[in-house]
Amino acid sequence: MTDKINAQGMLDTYLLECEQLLEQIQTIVLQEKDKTYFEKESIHEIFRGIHTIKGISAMMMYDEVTKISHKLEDVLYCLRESETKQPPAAELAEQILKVTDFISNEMTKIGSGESADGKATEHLIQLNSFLDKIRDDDQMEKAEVKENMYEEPQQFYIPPKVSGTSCFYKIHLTFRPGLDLANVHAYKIVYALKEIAEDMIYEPEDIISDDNTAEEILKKGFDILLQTQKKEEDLHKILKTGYALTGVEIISGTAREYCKGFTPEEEKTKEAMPDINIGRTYVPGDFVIESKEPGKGKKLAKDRMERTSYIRVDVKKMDMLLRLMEDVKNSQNALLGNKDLRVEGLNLENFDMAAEQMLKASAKLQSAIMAMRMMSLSNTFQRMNRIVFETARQLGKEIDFEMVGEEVQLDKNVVEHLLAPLMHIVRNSVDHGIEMPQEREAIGKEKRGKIILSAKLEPSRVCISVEDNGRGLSRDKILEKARKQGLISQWEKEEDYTEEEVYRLITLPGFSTKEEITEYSGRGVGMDVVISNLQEINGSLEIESEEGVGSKMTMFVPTTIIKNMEV
Amino acid sequence: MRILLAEDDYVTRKFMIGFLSKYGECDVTVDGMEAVDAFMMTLEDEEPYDLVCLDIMMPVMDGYQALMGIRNLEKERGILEKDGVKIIMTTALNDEQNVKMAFDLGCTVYSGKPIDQDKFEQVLVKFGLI
Repeated sequence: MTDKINAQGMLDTYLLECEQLLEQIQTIVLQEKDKTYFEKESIHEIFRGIHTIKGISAMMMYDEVTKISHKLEDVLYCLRESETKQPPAAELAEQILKVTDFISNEMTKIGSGESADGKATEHLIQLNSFLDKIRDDDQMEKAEVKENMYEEPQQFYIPPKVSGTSCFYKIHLTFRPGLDLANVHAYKIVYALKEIAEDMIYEPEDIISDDNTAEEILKKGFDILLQTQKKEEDLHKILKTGYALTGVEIISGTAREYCKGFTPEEEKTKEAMPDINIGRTYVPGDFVIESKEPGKGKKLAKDRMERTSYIRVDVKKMDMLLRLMEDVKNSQNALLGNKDLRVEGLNLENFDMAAEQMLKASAKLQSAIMAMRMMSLSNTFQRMNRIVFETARQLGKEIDFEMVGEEVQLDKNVVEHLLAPLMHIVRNSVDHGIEMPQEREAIGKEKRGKIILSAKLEPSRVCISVEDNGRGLSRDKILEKARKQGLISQWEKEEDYTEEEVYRLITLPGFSTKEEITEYSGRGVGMDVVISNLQEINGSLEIESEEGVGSKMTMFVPTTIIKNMEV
Repeated sequence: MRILLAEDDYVTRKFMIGFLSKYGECDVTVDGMEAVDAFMMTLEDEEPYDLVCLDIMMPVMDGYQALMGIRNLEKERGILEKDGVKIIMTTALNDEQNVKMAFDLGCTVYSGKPIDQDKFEQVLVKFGLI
């Protein structure tokens, strides 16, 4: 696959997905084959796998694969829907494995650039008679088994014609010395080859409008890289007919060599441009062509196609860079504000100019360093998603989890410091905030609870909030507990406490310990950890809550860990 | 069948016209903007196209923009998704990402270049166009 000229990303993805699914199915089948009957759950799982294969194969227009997987699906569907006798495991295993073998065989062909020409007819007949047998055994239920309908997909993908017979040539041409307009002669050759070319690159590039290339061609010769279905002798035939050539040198090569271009460093093929992007998303409008200069390939108006390459850097080095930057800033301030400069009547005009330039440069340097350290919250948010999912399942709660603003970027350090507090808050929301489904229904709330995790970028800070529609914080319980723990003295009146002050109580160390979680439904488990983590990065926490309605914890954190950005 | 083709490269265009003319009358445009204009025109004349083939990398407006434009024109006219014109993207871009975006924007078929003529024909049969 990797030898192909165009990155056949779509096809690769398809093959990979099919391969994984087939493997899964085979593993299950092998587990089950020695039992008397297949487990119901296994049948479900195989059904799901084959259903996906059918869907994507239909989209890719591999009709035989689609047909056979649909038939197998029919069989499994029948077994799934009818509650009666299952066929012996060994028999079913044999049928399923035949199908998976057929499909893997087709995948191999597709993968190696051949056409998927296998016919499933025979397998279909076998599967049909197998299906009839099951149905016969199952006469009574037959009427009740719904038909497994096949829905044609709405969208199709046609992979580019795999030219298994494509040949790749490197052609070096030399022209008769003293030839006039050698570039035009070269163009005529290019033109003649275009008829048979699937792809072509030549050097020098601009042979039509740049007359200087004539000389270059005479001196160095003219190089062409050609992808075509034609044989070498066909090329010789084309190149022979009167182009004032003195030498024709044709070397056949592989696709990989072709991709590398004339010299190994140059990786340019006209059509291979777009396959080089990693981690970028396109939007409509990114493929507008700005210009097509004579003799050259297309150029996109937005230069999004540039190769982005990454290097991995040790975080310690990045931290060091940041510290050094601060050192530079400090010494810069010491230098520019130096009291030695405060001399009466000193002309500092040039000095001030230089100083200004330095300030600008270091500010740029700083923001470049900052930008390097930025990462998005999406990983962190995804972890929360899992935590909510898993905790909710353990506790038997039903919760919808919504994430907003995952794409917000923060300094790596800030993101790391956020993880622990966020985990605490999210767990608390699931554990203590959202009520059990029955309880929610009893008080007239929707059965499923909801937690919204959101991040919003504000000038120089980011607020990250966890909002739930659970039971909220109980003022009375918090105060009661605070009193027990001696956080409020006996003679203080409860009415004197504002909501804000009450909520602040739960963030005090020692307000709550683990043993008491179940005793007190008031939240505050390890909230002091949240606070101390936030303080390390100069963050703060805001708590809003209404009893019975829900609560919202908002963390405010700086986008970077440098406190004042201005120099 | 009425076909609209948008393709900016002369050689490919010539090939495509030759290939598509077998199936019907083929109008040709050289960029995305023209394609949308041509589509608009036939909508107004009430002789809509049955098939639109869009290249992706084109000047002025790329194939994705043209695709969006056409789908929006249809939406505005109250044409249901299932009744919309069949749009085939014909392109050398074969990244999963590119394909997915085209599908999300509502193309019917995504056909990688060089075009697999047999499958192309199969798909036209599937849609009942030929």
